[in-house]
Amino acid sequence: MAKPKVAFYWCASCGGCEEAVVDLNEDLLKVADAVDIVLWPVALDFKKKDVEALRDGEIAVSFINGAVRLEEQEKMVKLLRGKSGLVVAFGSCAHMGGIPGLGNFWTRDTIFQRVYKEVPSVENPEGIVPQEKTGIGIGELTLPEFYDTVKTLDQTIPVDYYLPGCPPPPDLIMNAVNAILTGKLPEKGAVLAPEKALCDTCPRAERKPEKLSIKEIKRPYEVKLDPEKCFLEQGVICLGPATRSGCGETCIRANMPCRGCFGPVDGIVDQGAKGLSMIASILGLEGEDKMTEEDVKKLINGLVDPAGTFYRFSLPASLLTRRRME
Amino acid sequence: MTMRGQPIRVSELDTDFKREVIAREADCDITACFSCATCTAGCPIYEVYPQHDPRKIARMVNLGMRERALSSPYIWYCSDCWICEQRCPQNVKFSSVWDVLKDIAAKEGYPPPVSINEDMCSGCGICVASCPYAAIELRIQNGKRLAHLVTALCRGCGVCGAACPSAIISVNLFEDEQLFSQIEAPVA
Repeated sequence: MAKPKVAFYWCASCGGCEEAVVDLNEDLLKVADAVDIVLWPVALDFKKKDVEALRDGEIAVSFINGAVRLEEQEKMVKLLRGKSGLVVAFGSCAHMGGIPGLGNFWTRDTIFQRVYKEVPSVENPEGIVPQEKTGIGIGELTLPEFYDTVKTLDQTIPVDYYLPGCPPPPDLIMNAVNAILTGKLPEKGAVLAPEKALCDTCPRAERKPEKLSIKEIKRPYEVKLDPEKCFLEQGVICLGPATRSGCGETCIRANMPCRGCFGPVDGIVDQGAKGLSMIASILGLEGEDKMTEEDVKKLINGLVDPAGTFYRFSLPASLLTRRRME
Repeated sequence: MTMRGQPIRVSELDTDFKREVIAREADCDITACFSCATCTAGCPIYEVYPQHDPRKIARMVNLGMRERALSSPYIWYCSDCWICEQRCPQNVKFSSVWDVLKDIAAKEGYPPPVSINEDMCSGCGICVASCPYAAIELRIQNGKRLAHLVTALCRGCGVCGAACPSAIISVNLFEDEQLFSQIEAPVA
């Protein structure tokens, strides 16, 4: 029997998701034995035309990481969608927009202005920015269009399953691969990770105080973090309560709070809004009645960059989608 | 409250009920209500749930339909916006009336329509901290912390539902989906 064909593709991403596949270690050899990889730009030399030559639906599953930021990415994922039985959004960026999705606080023009003209390390006296077409005498060079708005994978093509995480951890990847190979898949649209929020598996849960209250918001660098205590108890914003579990609590074990890369649990429409209302619910609870307007302002101003904090991985997938530019 | 067309039996009424409500809220005379429905016309909850009709509930109190009023889930639907109270030409303080009804209802075993899906609870404790009535406690079950609702203390205010980052606390039947559809309708 022919082995099932599998494709890996990357869009707007950092490469960490590719690392995550390599992090399967010896298991990667098992995967390579069980499947026939037909596209994997980071590791194997297949071209777009090789994908085009396949029949529709011939690829059993495409694992696509990264958000959709460029015209080329949109074309490739549409091509892969047609050729694939299943499409898995792999990692935070494909799932919810991820870090590249924070670009939705800006536009192409403002991003180009900053990156190619204003950044102190850039010397560009002629103010050259990337063009879709550039004549070079002997012909014309082309670049794909850079969109104003970053999209998630499922805002571009229908997605069957989501593997969350920045990047997804090896055990969840192997579970997903095994589920696909054995056909034991959950309902379409499912996130292939546990259902409960991160506090459920947090190693600090047992020592959590009965009643949480944040007196002063601290950023991790401003405080010597107790490796046993709940981050919220220490005044450090942790999105664990508003984030799906399954990551292996790697950040928490490294004494850093959860930043929300796994996205929300089922039933949450907007992870950032939930994170915000959750923090608002425990802000200055102790002695609330004695606080003056000034005290409240000071407490809230301790939260630097709320949009980036609560929507760090999910801006394109949120109700906000992007900042409105006047 | 499907009561249209059903006879109201005087023998089943508790004519002291209105006095009981007034006794608990001294500066408001609910018997002044003559059912003009100005309250209902301004009520944003009535727009979505016509069963939450301030005028009808006031009528029930005045007639002495004690059990019917107290067992109705709709007394918990009030969002405390006080529009009814501001507009009432008879100075009936509806917000206080609702409070009294909720008080009596909770005492007599008619809990607010609030529930926690404990199976999905991560034990984060946000609801416990946010509840102004100390009606949620964390209980250890199989070594895990789970939020547990103490219905006798719950007043159905909804703070926990807004705060719960797992969206597993359902409050007053106002599901997130319904609220989102209310937001989406005018901005669509």
